[in-house]
Amino acid sequence: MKLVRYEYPQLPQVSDIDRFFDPAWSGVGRLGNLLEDWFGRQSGSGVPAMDWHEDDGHYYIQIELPGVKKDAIELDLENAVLSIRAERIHKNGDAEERVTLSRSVSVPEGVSADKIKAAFADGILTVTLPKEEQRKPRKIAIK
Amino acid sequence: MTESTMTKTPAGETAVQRNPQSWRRPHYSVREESEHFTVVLEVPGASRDGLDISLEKDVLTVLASRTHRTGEGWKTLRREIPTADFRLSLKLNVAVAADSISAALADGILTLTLPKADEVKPRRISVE
Repeated sequence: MKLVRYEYPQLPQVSDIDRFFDPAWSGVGRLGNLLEDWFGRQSGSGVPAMDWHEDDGHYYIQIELPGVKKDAIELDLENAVLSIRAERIHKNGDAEERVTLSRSVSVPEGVSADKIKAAFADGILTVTLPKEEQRKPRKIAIK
Repeated sequence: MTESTMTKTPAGETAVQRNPQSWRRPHYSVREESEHFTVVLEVPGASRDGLDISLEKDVLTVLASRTHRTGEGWKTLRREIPTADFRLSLKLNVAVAADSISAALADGILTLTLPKADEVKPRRISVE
């Protein structure tokens, strides 16, 4: 059992505070780079950056896993927590350095757990979480 | 903070609109071997087509644009991955053979091999 902060993916917006510290936010981009230079980077500490998206039928998670081979990624779903673990091996001549990247996310309610799919391309893992039929938005016809 | 940032709506996806002027510096490492230097850059989301590697005088510039995009009609709920493209400029303080620089991209890692110019290669002097 893992304790994971519950993040409500149903909430539409990231908070203003989050956005202020978000390196993607154009105004703080350079500051973000500076901080990375001084304190090292997020993925260096083993927590890869992640985006959440949704459309009518799915949630999508995208995670940066540069340098990881597809076979070295493990995805586990347990108690509505999706754990992503990936091992990266740096070959440095004869020396070998292993870095484990891991991240856990709470899977929102109303996801068909058995239909979760994942794809890996160009160092980005995309997990597709289909919403259950009854959760999908639908138009109701007036009779 | 620029004016354009201020006027954007608070919705997540518009607040991080792509700004062509902003760049993201990739994490990188440089290793020296006897015959060449190896530069390894992390560029997740960049594909071959988006790469632009140039050497002008002694400045090596790597541009890697993120061709990895989100799907049609996706609404962003939370964003941590910067949307900016990657750019790295390195000032080289050793001579490299500019014509034989090679690059390989795999799984979001770009590996550049910069062969040393002949005049800086180590050489063994045989005793006669």
